[in-house]
Formats: sequence, structure tokens, C-alpha cells
Amino acid sequence: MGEHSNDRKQPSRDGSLDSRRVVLDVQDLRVHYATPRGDVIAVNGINFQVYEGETVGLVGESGCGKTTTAMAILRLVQPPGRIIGGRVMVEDTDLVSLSEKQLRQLRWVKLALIPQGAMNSLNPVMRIKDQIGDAITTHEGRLPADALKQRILDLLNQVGLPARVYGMYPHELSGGMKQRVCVAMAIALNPPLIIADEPTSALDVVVQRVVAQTLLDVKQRLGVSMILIGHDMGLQAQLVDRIIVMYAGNIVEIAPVREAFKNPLHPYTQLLIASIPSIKERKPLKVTEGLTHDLRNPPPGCVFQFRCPHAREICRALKPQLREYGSGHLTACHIYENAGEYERSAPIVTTATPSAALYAADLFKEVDPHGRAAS
Amino acid sequence: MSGMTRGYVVRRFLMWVLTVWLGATLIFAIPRLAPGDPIAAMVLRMSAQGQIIENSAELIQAWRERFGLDGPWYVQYVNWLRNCMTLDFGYSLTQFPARVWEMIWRALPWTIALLTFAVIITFILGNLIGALLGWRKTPPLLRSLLPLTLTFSSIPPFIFGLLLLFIFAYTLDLFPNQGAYDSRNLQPGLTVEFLASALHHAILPAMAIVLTSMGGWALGMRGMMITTDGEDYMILAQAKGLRTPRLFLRYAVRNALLPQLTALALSLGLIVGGSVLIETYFVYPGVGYLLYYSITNGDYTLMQGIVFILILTTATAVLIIDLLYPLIDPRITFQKR
Amino acid sequence: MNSPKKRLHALGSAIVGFSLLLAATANVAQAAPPQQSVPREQTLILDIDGGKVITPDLWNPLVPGSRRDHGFHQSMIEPLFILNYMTGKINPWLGESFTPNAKQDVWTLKLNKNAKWNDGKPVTADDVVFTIGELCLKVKELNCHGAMNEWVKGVKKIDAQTVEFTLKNPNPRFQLDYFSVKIWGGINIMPKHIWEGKDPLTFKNYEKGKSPVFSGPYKLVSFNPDGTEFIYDRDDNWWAAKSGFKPLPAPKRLIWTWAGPPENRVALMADKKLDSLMDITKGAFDTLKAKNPNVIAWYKDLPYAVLDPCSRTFELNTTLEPWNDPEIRWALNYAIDRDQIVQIAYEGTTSKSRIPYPMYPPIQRLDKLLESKGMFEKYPIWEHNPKKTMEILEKKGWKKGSDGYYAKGGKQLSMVITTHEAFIEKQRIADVLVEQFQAVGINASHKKEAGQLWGDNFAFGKFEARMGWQMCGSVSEPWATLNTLNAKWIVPVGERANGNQWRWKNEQFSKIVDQIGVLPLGDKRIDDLFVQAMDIYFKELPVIPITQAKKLIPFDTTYWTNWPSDDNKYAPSWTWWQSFYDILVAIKPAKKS
Repeated sequence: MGEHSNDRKQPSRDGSLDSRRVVLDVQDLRVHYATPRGDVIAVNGINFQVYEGETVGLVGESGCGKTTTAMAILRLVQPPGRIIGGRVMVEDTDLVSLSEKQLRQLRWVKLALIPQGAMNSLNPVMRIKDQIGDAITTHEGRLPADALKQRILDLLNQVGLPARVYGMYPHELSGGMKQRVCVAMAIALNPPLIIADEPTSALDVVVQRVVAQTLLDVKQRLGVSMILIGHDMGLQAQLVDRIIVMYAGNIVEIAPVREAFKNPLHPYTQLLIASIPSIKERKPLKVTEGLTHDLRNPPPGCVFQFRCPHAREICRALKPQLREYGSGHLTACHIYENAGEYERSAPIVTTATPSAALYAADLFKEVDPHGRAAS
Repeated sequence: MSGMTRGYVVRRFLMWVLTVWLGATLIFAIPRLAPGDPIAAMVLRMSAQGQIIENSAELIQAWRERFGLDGPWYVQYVNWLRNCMTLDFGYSLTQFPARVWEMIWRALPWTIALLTFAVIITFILGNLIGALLGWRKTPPLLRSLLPLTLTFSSIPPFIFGLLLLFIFAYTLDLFPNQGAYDSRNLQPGLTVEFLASALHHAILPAMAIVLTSMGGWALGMRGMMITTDGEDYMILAQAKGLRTPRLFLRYAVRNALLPQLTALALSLGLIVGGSVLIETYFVYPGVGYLLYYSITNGDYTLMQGIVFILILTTATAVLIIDLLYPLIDPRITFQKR
Repeated sequence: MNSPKKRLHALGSAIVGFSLLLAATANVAQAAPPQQSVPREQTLILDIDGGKVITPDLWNPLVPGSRRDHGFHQSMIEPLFILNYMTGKINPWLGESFTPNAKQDVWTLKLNKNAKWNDGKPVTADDVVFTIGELCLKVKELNCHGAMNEWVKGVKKIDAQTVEFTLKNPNPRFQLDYFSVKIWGGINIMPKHIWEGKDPLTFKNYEKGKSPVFSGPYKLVSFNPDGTEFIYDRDDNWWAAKSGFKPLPAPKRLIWTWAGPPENRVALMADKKLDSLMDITKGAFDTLKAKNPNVIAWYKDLPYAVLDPCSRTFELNTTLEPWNDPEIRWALNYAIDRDQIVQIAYEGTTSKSRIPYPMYPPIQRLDKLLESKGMFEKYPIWEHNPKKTMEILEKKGWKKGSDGYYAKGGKQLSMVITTHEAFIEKQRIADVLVEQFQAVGINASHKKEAGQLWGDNFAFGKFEARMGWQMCGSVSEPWATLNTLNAKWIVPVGERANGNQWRWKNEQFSKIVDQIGVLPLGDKRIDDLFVQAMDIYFKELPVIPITQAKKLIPFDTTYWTNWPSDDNKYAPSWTWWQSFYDILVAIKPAKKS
């Protein structure tokens, strides 16, 4: 483990290596949840980087640790969870070891959040202007009232919200509007990195599209780095440059987005992609076959062994490490390790449905990379 | 309050009228269904002074007529409703010829003054303590000390009152042991001396109320804070890097307080009844003792008057809270869905 | 942003509101506080027995709800006569003499010719005729109506100081029962010139800042609106002092105060802020004595307490099986251990009873009389003998079951003893009785009832057994208590009875009682009739005497001395009775100033 922690060079969307600045470097991050019958290992020593201007997708089924990872990066893991180790480097500062006060000053300035479930993410008894305003004034000090107002109106405008939202209460807004308020709030201080935690999950399909478009606009206009957490593979395909696949608290695959869809390596990634029901009908990932192990007590060997159709003896004994099997394409699977070297054509693993690659191709067509949503 | 339609206000007001009317009807009915004859009891008390009253039936009848208790029930009911509307409840059954309204009026200002202040202080302190107890960032030292303040709640108020009297009135001699003001030397009026004396006399009873009743608010608030703390907007607010006081007051407390305010309006009626012991131990004037007296002495007219006033004030407080609620919670609107 | 300012504003207006509210109470009828202060050593501070005075501006003593124990009838309303509990003699006060004719149906009252109201007008026969004839007899709702209407046919002025009462029937106790403070108070005379033309039912007899007109040695100065404190100052023109009938009382000022629950009152007295208290427990008395060694009571040692006129009785509904059987009632009596009751329920502060009378000297004479006639050998009322209880029960066919209780015909021998919920003393006796009855196999239990219900259940005969004091009546002569058992009172269960609520019917007993009833007080024939009546009473035992009643009344000798006590028994200790005038004129300042 951790052998990639110093490797800052990772491929971009098209797989080419680049040497852009690392905005976020997560090193051996571990999060446990205390339960009466022992700790649940929610995040088990993960490593990854986010580059300037890059959008990274963090995917996996519910409970895989993706949201916990995001909360750990923000240092907002709620009890009984706690960060028990690792580092979260943001521009050479380790957030994990900061004091509360130092952390508070860095929050939102360096790292903003677009929360999951915008329905409840806004304080119901405060006007929108006050909720965006307090993020600004807390970090920049008091501004002249009209300057602050202008700035908030600009932010609302940037996410496509009308000016009247300024004086409204959250309950007067629709779900999509609330989520766009959250986007406006996230970009208020122009942070280098935004974590968007399933930003569209509670919205209906049409509104999801609008919010996704807003995110894409913002990303392209501001050049902000983003971590997009979600189980909506379609959205991921549209928005992210790289995908990180998590399973049971571990990263099992990191790949440029096209690679991930066209040529998934890890059996779990293959299962994920195969289970995408259809383009038009996005549903939470549901991979029902097999059982996950008890997260309190992980077995020796591979975390996916109980559900893996290709599990071998070594998978039950030795934990596979993330290794690069192509330009910027990493996976943790013994199958490829034993194969000696990565062979693109080697039919060692078959996808659950032969048409997965077709889905993938379809997905990329849906949103054109320059912004406008397809019908 | 843009959402407040006239229809809503009218509906809400009609509800208020209905509540008060139902209350008045219950007050009318219950004493008539209860065992024992209040007039007979009054006559019995007369005879308990060592004399056998040999023609009690005649006496009972005479008083029954005087209080209009000899007519058919519907006539009595209509009379009663008229009394309620004019707030004139006639004569006290046991303290004839004292009028009920006059008796209530003698006690009411003290009750309102003492209870209003005690209740406001209790509400603020109790909720503050509860909020701090339910707040994750409360310093551990404070968090371990705060529950001590709640131990007072488990002491029965009368014992606690005695304790306060013993310490502050008898041992330290800092506060007077009884009464509402120095009635041996002062006369009520808008004078500095009188007000200072009234305040001085109110401190111990107010302390007894505050310290013994803030625990309930604190526990309720603690629960609400814990619930609120798990809300998504709290996480987002933290992520925004807001300063702790703002996080605590504008985000957590502000939201956790909403149900507490409703509870406050509803508790108004109970407070008066609950203050009997305080009024007894500190010999403080008040409606609580009057209510207690009316019940134990079977003074039905007095009891009906007091209970009606309590229903009226509670219903009115709830009405006011209902009409003001949109100021407190913007989610509430009065429009029909 | 401006919310702190707003809050300050709110606080300010709240304080103003508070002030206005309190100031509003100034409008409520309220006497001005005293102009001058009186030093503590010239002030007598006493406890209001009956709690807060709910209507402190009501100074009409004739309406049923009126209170008189807050100094009203102890310092302003004077009685006509005062019964001396120790001698049984009736002493003059406003009245000089009250004498019956031979038939006991015409009574002639002579007033003290010097008696004056505190406005200077004389107390005359007109006042008496007005009070009895115009108020008590004519206005049914007044509290003096019942008694006067029962007895008085006519009342007539003979001269300025003489009034003649014509009774409907002979009544040798007419003066004793109604005009001599036999118990607590009596029927009082109102000044005609004040009351004439007023509606006696709605007349409050109070004008702000003025003392009501009565004849006593003190005038009302002020009271607080809460009715917890009443201040009276001495009237140095008091008629009795001026005429030399009585000395002027020593205290310049009287304060009657209600200090709340017993703990507070005891603490105040320990602090020397009260000169006496109404009945307290032995524990409280011990504490008090430890803190303030100047505190005394009637006796220097146990039982400390002074006798109360209502002795405590265990009462049965004699219409109910099996309590209608005198032998079963005796079985119950054998199960009662009165010594244990005195020890447990009273902590030794009282003594046991063998007759249902308070043991004042005149009654002690009657007790000795019964003893000399061998009554207590014939009827061993104090014998605690559970064996006899069981023998009687078994003789009557009751069998002890495996559960330890007697039963007959499938019915368990059980009993519910009810008490008045406000009277802890009686409840404590009932609890001990339950234990004692349980010990012999009677499934007794104790139930507290709200006072009104308890009273109604008694009157309507809807009770089984009760711990009470309802044979109360006699203090200096035997008849009143005997009369409570007179069969003439009996009405069927379900109807309101005004006496003999136990519904014990014994014609012979009732005949004797009626015979005593018409004999003049002190008539030689009474003793013999009394013994005959008691013989029947003991044989039947419809009501079982339990204990003497106690009142532990502490007096502080720091400021005032010459309080009544066993060594100096010029009067009973009751500060809440109208007989308090006897104490008022007797007490002396502790220090000569």
C-alpha cells in the first residue's frame, strides 16, 4: 500500500500524462466508524490525487465509502466516525493535522462542498442572501452592504438563478434551484477545489440535467478542480476526467473516464458498468449478486473475493495492490498481476453483458464536451 | 407574513372561539358531575365551627337560590356563558360577598409578574443549557459541569424552596422569607422603594421556579439540538467554515428552538397551577394558591372563574403564537395548500 | 445587527410592564401601612391558624365564608361571655349576666353598662335586639341564623342594658353553647348604627384606611392584599380598661401573620419573629426549643401539648353488618392498643381516652364519677386483648381462613376506615388502627377522602368506619357530647343527617339524654342520669374513644411572659379562639422598658 502516494503523475481524460499542479493529495486516508461490536472500516487507507482543473469521479455502490471519503477530506466525518490516519494535503497543508481554528479559516476558501440532498442542506430559517453572505463575510470580513449584495446577485446569475432568489427562504425554492444555490455558494470564494457529493441524487431527470449543466458551466468557466461523487454513471461519463472506483472502503480502480467505460479492468468495475440500466433511466447502482464481507472484520486477501466470479486462491490470501496497467489506468486485481503484464486483448475477464462498451460509447455522445445537454 | 390570508386569520379566530367555548362548557359541566354538593359543603363548614346546624336543608336551599343553582341546567348554562363573556363570575361560593373577579384581580398581577419573568428566564436558561449540552463543540469541562445545574430539577420544588429559604433568608439573611413586598412599611404604587422591594421579594421564588423547572426545557432542547446537529444544513454550514457562535446560534439553536416555542405557549396554562407550592412556601400572592384554595374548599364559582381565565389566556397565547409563527419559522404559511 | 439594541428595548418595556402590573395592585382595597413603627418588644406577632385570608377586605363576620381567626375575633369582636375551661365557669365580658327562668326557656341578658364601640357609641340592648332579631333571625343565609332560628322565638329590649330572649323550647345551655366561646367562637353582636340599612349579606364592613367598628381593645391598621398579614394597634380608649373592668393589654401592636408551611413558621419562630404558633409536631417543637430556649409549651415535659376540646374517636356505621352488633364493636375495641397509638401516631404528645370527652377539670370530675361507679371494671375499655377479639369473632361464627383473615359465609371480615385528606393526625391514627386490626385477622384498610366528600358521606351514612372527632361538643358539662348520639337525629341512609350520623338507635339512651337536656347546668340530677347514659353507651359502644386531642402550641418568652401553661392555667392556649382576650390582658412584657 501507499506505493503510489508519491506518484503525482497521472493521466488526464484522454489518458496522456501531464504535469499539472496537484490540488489535492489524499494519502493513506483511513476512516473508522465505532459500533458496539467493533470498528467498521469505512475507508481503508486510500491514495489519490486531484489535479488543477481536473474533475475526478468517485463511484461505487452505497456504503462503499465514497461519501465518507469526501467528508474525511473536508474533515466533516460525523461521529461515531473518525479519521484514524492518513493525510489530506491541500496545497502543502495537511488538513487532518490542522487545529480547528486553522481548519476553519481554510474551509470554503480552499475547499468547498456541494452537498448531497440539497433539500435539507440549506438552513430553513435563513434567507438565501444570508446563507451565501455569511460564507463570504466569515472569510473576507464585513463588506459594504451593496457590494455584498451585488456579489451574491452575480453568483446567483452565474448558476442561472433569477435575482428574486436573493431574498427568498429555502422552502420557497424548488429542489433544482436549491441545488444551484448550493453551487453558487460553493463558488462564492473561488476555491481551487469543490467536492460535489451526489449533487443530483434527489432530483428528477430533467432537473438533474440542468444541475449537471450548471456544474459543467461552472467548471469550465472557473477552471476549478472538482471531485464528483456519485453512483450515476451517466453523469460521471459526462462530467469527469478520471474515475476512481471504490469498493468496501478500498480503491479498486483508477482510470481515465473513457478507459473506464470502454475497458474496465477490475471485475467490480465491469459489474458496475454492466449494470447501468439505460441511458435515459438513471438509477442508483444496484449490484445485487453476492455478499459483501463484514466491514468490521475484513477477510485476508481481496475485498471483492466473495462476489468476484474469477476469485482464485491467491485472492483469498493476499490483498492485491493498485498497479498501473496502462497509461494512467490502475487497478487492484490479482488477475492482471498474475498475467504478468497488462494485455488489452486478453479475454481473461468477460464483462457481464457484452454490450457494456456500447453503453459507454452511447454515454459519451449524450453530452457534448462543450456544454450543451443533448435532448 | 405575506402568506397570511384573511381566511386563515378568520378560521384561526373561530378556532379560538370554539376552544374557549368548549372550555367554558367543560368548566360548567364538570363540577355538576362531580360528587358532593358545594352548597352543602359550605354549610357543613359553618357547622364545623362547633355548632350543630339543625335546619341545614333550609340553609342549603337559601344559598342554592342565591347562587342561582336551583334553576334548570340550561338557564344556569346560559347565565354561565354570559358571565364568561363579561368576565363577571359573580360571588365566591365560600367567600361571599367577595366577587370572584375581585379576588382574581387581587392575585393576578403578582402571578403574571412573577411567572412571566421566571418563565422567560427559565426558558432562556433551560434552552441555553440544553443547547450547550446537545452541542458537540461545547468544551468538555462545561459539558460535565452543566448537568449539575439540572440536578435541581430532580429536587421537588417545595424542598428546593425550603432550601433556598434556609440558605438565603434564614442563614444569610440576604432575602426576605415571605411576602411580595414589605407590607409592614410600604404601600403598592409606582415608587422606587416599592418596586425595589417587590423585586427583592421576587428573587427567591423566581429562583425556585427557574432552577427546578429549567431541566425540562434543557432536556427537550438537548434532544432537539442533537437532532438538528445531524441535519444536512449543519454539515454544510460547518464546511463553510463559519465561526462557532454563528453556527451555534443562527444554525443550530435557531432551528432547535422552534418546537420549544410552541411548547412554551402550551405550557402557560400549566404554569399557574404549578406555582401553588412556590406561592405557599414563599407566601407569595398569586392565582395558584387561589385555585388550590377553590378546589380544596369546593368554591366552584371561584374555581370556574380562575380556570376560565386560564383557558382564555392559554388559548389566546396559542392564537398569538400561531399568528406570529411565520415570523419565527418562515416555512409556515397560512395559505391553503 | 441592531438586535442587541432591540433586546434592550424589549427588556426595558418588560420592566415597565412589570412595574405597572404591580402598581395596579395598589388600586385593590388596601389599608395604608402604619404611620409609625412600634418596637419589637411592644409588638405581639402571632400565627394565622387558618392560612391565607382569601378576602382580606371582608370584615363582615356573619357571612358563612368570613374569617375571624386573623385577629378579627381575637382583638376586635368581643364575645358576650368567655367559658373558663379550667373551672367550667362562664365569665362576663360584654355581657354581665345571662340568666334563665326556672323553665330554662326565657333568658335575660344584662350588658356591661360601660361597654362601648370603638367609635365611642355605647353597646346597648338595641344592638343585641338588632343583631339577633333583624340579622340572625331574618336573614337565612347568615351563619348565626341556624342556631338562633332553632331556639329563639323572640328577642326584646327591656332597658338600655337588658335583653330578654324567649325560646321555643327550654335550653339550659343557651348561653354556654352560643355566647360563651365554648368552642372557637360564638354568636357576636354587631353595632346597630353601622349595620342598619345595609344588606348584611353583601356588606363588607370595610372602608379603605379605616378600622371597622367593634368594641375590642385593638383597631385594624393595615393588611396586605395577599391576606397574609394583618396589623392592629391598641386602642387606649378601650372601654374595659377605662372602666377598670380589665387592664389595658400590654402589646401596643398586634401582627397576625401567615408564614406558610410549618417549616417556615417554625424557622420564623426560632428567629424570634413570631411569638406563638398554631399546633406543631413534637419534632418541630424539639428543634424550636433547641434553637430558642425561651420557647415554652403547656407542659414542661411530655406530652407538652394542651388538650383540644374534640377528643378523637373511631366511628362505625351501626347500620352495617357486622358493625351493628355491639359485641363485634367490643371485639374491635379489644383489638385496639391505645398506648401504641399514643406512641406512634402522636410521639407521646397526647394521652389515651376512655370516654369520648376532652379531659378538662369539669370532665375529669365526671370521669372520676364513672370510675367510682365501677364502670371501667364493668367495661374494660382500655383492655388491649386480641385473644378476646378472636374469641368473640369465633363465637359469632367467623372463621380464620388460610389467608389469616376471618370470614363467614364466604365473606371476608374487612373494613375501610376513611379519613379527611387534610388531617394528618387522624390519618396517622387510622394507619395504626389498620395495623392493629390486621394483626387480629380483620382486613382493614385506610382511605383518605376529600373533605367535602368525607363530610357528605358521613351525613348520608355512606361510610363503614372513620377516624374522626364527631362526638365533639361537651367541654364543661356532659350533655352536648351525649346528644350527638340522640336517636332523634336519625334519618335513613341516603338522607342528610344533622347529628347521629352513625345512626345508632337506642331509645332508652335518647330518653335519658333528653332528660338531661332540660335540666339547668349544674343540676344535681345530671350526674346520676349521666352514669345511666354512659352505662348504655359503654355496653353498646357505638363510637369508640381513642385518644385525647392535642395541640402543641409554643410560646416565646423572649418578649412576652405570663403565657398560659399547666402551672398557670388561667386560660387554654388557643390564640385563634375568641377567648384569646383572656391571654391578651394577661401577658406581660419580658423586659421592663
